[in-house]
Amino acid sequence: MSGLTIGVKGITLGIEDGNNLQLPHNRLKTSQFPAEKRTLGGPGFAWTPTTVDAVDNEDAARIISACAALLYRYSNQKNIPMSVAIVTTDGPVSVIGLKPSVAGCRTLSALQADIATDLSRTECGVDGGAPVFISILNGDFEDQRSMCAERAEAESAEIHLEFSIDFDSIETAVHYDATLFEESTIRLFQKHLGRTLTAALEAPSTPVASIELYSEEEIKWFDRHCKGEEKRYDFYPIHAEFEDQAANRPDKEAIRFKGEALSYAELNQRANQVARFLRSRGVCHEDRVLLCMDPSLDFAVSLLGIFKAGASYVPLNPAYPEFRIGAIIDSTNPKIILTQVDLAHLVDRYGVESFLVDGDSRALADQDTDNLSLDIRPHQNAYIFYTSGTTGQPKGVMASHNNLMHMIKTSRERYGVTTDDVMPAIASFSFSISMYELLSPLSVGGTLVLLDRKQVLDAEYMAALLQRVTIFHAGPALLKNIVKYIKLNISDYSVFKNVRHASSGGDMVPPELLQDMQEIFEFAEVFVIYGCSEVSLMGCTWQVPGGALTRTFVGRPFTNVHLLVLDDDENQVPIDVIGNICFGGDGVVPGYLNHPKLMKELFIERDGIRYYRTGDRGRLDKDGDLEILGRRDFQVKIHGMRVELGEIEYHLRQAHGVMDGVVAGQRKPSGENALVAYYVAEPGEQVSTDALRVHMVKYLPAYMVPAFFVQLDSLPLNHNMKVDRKNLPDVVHSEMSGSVPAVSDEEKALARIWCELLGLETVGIDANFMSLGGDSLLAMQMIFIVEQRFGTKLDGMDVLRESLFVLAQMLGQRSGTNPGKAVHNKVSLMNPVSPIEAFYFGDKDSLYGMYHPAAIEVNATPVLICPPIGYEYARCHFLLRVLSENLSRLGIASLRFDFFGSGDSLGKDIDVSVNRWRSDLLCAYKELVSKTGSRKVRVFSARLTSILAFQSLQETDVDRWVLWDPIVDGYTYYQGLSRMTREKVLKLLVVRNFNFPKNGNDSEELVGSRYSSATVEEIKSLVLRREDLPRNAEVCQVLSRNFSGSQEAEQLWGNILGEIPARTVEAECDWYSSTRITTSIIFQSVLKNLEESLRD
Amino acid sequence: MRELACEFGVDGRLKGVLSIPTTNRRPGLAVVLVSAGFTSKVGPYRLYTELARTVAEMGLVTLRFDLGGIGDSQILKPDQSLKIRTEADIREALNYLRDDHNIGEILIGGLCSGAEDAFRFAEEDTRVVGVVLIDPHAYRTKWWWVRNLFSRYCFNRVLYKVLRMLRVINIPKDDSGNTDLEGFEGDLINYHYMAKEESTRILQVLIQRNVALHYIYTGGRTEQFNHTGQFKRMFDGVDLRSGLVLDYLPHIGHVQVFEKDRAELISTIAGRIRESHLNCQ
Repeated sequence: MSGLTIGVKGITLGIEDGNNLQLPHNRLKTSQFPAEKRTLGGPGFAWTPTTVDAVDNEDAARIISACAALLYRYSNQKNIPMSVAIVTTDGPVSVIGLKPSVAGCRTLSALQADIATDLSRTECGVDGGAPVFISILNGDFEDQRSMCAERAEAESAEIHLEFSIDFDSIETAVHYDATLFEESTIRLFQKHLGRTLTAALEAPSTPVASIELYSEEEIKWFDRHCKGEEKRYDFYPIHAEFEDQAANRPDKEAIRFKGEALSYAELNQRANQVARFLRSRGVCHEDRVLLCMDPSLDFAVSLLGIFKAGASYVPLNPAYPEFRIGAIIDSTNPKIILTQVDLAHLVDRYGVESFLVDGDSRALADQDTDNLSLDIRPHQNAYIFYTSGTTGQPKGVMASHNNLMHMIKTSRERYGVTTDDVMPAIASFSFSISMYELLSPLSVGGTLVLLDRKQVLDAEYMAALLQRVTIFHAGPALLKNIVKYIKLNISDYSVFKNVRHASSGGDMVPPELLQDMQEIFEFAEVFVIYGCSEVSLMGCTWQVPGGALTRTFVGRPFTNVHLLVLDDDENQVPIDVIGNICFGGDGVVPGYLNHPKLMKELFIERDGIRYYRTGDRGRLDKDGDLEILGRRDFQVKIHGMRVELGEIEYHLRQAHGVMDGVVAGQRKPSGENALVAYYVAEPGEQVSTDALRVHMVKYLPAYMVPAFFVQLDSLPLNHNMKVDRKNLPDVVHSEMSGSVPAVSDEEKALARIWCELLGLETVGIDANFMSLGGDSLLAMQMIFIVEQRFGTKLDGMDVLRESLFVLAQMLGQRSGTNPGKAVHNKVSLMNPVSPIEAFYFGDKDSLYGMYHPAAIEVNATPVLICPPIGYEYARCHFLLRVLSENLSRLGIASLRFDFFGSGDSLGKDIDVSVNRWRSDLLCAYKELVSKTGSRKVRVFSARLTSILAFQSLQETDVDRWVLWDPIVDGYTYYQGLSRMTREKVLKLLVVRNFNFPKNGNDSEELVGSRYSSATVEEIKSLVLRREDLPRNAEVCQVLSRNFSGSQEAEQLWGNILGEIPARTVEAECDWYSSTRITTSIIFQSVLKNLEESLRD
Repeated sequence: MRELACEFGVDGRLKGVLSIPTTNRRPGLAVVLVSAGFTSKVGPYRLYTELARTVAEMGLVTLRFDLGGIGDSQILKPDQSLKIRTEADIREALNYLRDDHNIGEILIGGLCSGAEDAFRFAEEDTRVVGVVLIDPHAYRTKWWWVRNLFSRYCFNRVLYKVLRMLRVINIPKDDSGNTDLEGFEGDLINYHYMAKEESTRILQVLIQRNVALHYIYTGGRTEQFNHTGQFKRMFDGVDLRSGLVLDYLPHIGHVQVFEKDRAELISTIAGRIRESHLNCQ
């Protein structure tokens, strides 16, 4: 990418990891203003001390647990740093740093026990400087009270929570920094603190997530602001409304495109002919009809015809790559494809009937022009739009006619679309917003203006067009270009006087763009529309008020729409607190085509209403307007804090000379995230990165200031004109990685192939395919692609074990070139050796272990890696090793080990027993504790070991369990292995002259292991019981794609672990395949998810 | 016998396990097992672990270790080719035995690629006094074709294809989507054995040096080797002296998934070591 300059890099942020806490600031924390301390007195509470004389650690823990629980609910952070002063005498005040670990499922009493233990220890978990200061005064110690206040101020605490105990009551007060918080926010916080404290004192068995924070009044407030107006619409299909318009105003211009136009009567008659033609070809209700056409009058005719025929409309963008076209055709299984002469070649190879709307006019002309008047049911499928999933897999969103009616009616009413309106269809037809643009004017008697992509992307043409329309909607990226053109070329904005309504949405709309719109379209109401295909687009809308804007809201829900902003425990978050946005109501579509699991994940039911999780993050302000802060996927954790990129982007765009910009988080080689700001300078402006940094530091707290600034000629846009974040250059890795970049053509080509196959941004020439997460199937694909591109074949063993550098050299030698040798002769590739320790431990040194110490010091919880049993361990041995190495780089120590009778440990498989496995797990846990000195351990377990680990490590201090394709039922596992063994025997017998292996009475072969009959019986009887699940620790699962559809998975979800959060990864871990028993399981996606699940 | 975790090479990058006899130790001689393909020092289905223990019980120190990038060992210089790195890794192992355990004679071996790596290394290093090759290089001869034509293997292939066509049997596809017989025992990505010129040259050198050679072919190599007499014909012209022994085990697989197969293979190897290096019959 030309014009790319990289700014200041690798700055030291100067903040200590772990002391950060996201509080509900009303204003950004900056160094611009000195703190302004204020105090708000709160209510009193009855108090019963546990001892007569003084406040002991248990008493203090009760109070602190309430604070920690509330701060968890506000911040969604699991570790809450705080400074605590407990004053029981008139002596000097001592301050203890605490960092209690909170989770929604943990009870207040468990939290209290932890805090009491921490208080009894001399060392501090936090070194001071925590944003929250808690003082607990037992008695009337005014001097000490002042000392606490001074100390809180010295530590720059943002909130100081003061608890004064007077025999049988507690008084509370909140001291806060008024430059950060408004009084109303603190008042609300104090109310919630009161409720949490009551729960801590009176009902300590309450889980943190179950504490009822809200009063009746607040619940009513949420009801009022988060539910759109309730209105009953009698079902009437949108195309029927169009037919009514055609009957009422047959001669009115309905549609125009490039100088051609159709009246309502003409459009209706031609659409009827298409509908009748489709019916004549056997198209019935809900049969899918693909429309692969460029913008044209025929397109609109065909669209209406499909609806009239009762079929499902599926748009197919001719600009899509062949692969995607094929995928959509395969998954929708259409009855017929309507297309055009010029585009027929795109779809004629799939064996689906196609019809050329512009090529066989006779077949249509022969049809009757009367309305069909078919009976359309409300829940009948109307259309399927394919959206890009964040996983990269497109999803077909299926919407009903009722959803379509909801979309058109609510928006039409809200924006007052009338017969007099002229509306352009700006969005690509492959995006669901096009439904709003196409059908709103046609259903009400207005005029629709169709545009082709060339016209849409021509700012001059669009500026002229907007002078002739009354209402329009455009995405912010496109609108920015149009606005820019208008501001530079048109001085008299009165030419846009016809525009009475302008809206934008579909992406973050910057406030400055909205202000420009208000300025240019001065007679128009300006709106922001927020929604997505899954909620039929119309989620919320906000009318932009007059005056200066600093934030963009998306407003309040449309009619019959319910809004929820939830935390990770599915609780409504308080006002001003950021949460996950969900929508319910009439717009919510039935679901995805062929994605039942995804539907289960993303569509939830709550209080009898079906909601869709949008994946967006946002917050409600005190007026009830919703503000979007970015995608959940775009959230970045910096030093343990969640950073919403939208805030940073706003300030980046405000910087002098910056025309546009986005901010992204990128993973550094150390595993930490770094913020990268990408910006486009105004034409003719020189923007120095130093100046940008100074600007950002002025408005943002240190941790939110990007570490890198990258100037681009333009931001990459996808075909929907949204910023394509996936195509932002990977600056961090190329700048900070120790790997040597590819230089020669062969190296670059090979690196590109690896990146494509492994989903990586960059690959160094010292990398090995398998170490990067390539499995043997991917290796085969790689060999095939290389053969296609280079005409020479790589050997399998070389691919598995050689570096990219060596493979490129081989390719160069075979193709007659000598790649990059001159360049790399100067580079000595020398991998650093990780200090891993191999040793025997346990009873009679019977267990073989590999200890991977942390490569960097971040005080992370160490991980015990509990391998699977038997042949499964051999298959994923390499993955576990790479996992340990990656964890080490993230600062997490780990211990791998081999069970007795397996791997390098002593004993034979015939001698093992389930109890022995259990005791090995405990032994390994103790070994890790002894090596790291940390009692708290995180456990990773795979397959059958998950049951064993739960059963054997129950009494230990495990704070998180990460399970990989866990087995909950030993019998199913046994059946799987037994079947594989039989298949293996069968193959050997069929193919060659092998002796049939016989199981003795006292033992049985299970894929390479011979277990005693007693052990086999023990395995068969293993079952994960609900009581085995840990009570005071998090549990999460990483599930491979094919596992998630297996019998085990059904038991998993339907039975024991159904409510445990799970990450499903795109990896085929075919545990029970008899043909793959010697194939290594190593997947980048599995590794990445395991790493993410295991780190803080 | 006791086992000891050991590490050697720069910064201890190579990890191994030493099986040390506690009685009847034969001084100065050790067995080194070279890891095969992508499997670790444990070997497929613990073949190496069990073999090392058996040999150690007989009195020989046995080292099994992971080549760089495999199992628990790390690669030092990724710009070097696998061949060079493998040779360097094996040399590090032998140096470790020499320096730390005062062992100067080595009996080296392995399965498949491990066998060939050992074989190749033996040519370069005179400390090697014996090589055990399990399923190494093999080359079809005229008699291989004749035997193949009338073998039960060939019959079974035809029978299998007929049964499959008639849908009488349904055997799942292998990793490459192949339901043909070739896919059953073959690795997903086939290892390319050394060319005949190279193996002939090394064989001559080792015979010249009186290195004891033990070739073992299993049924897993039937597609290249199907009778004992084939070996002589493969290396026609090479003076095969009495130091070379061959065991053909057609009824066990290349990767021995069944315990009895592993036991037989281990017993065969142990027996030959006992005969040739421990002077027992």
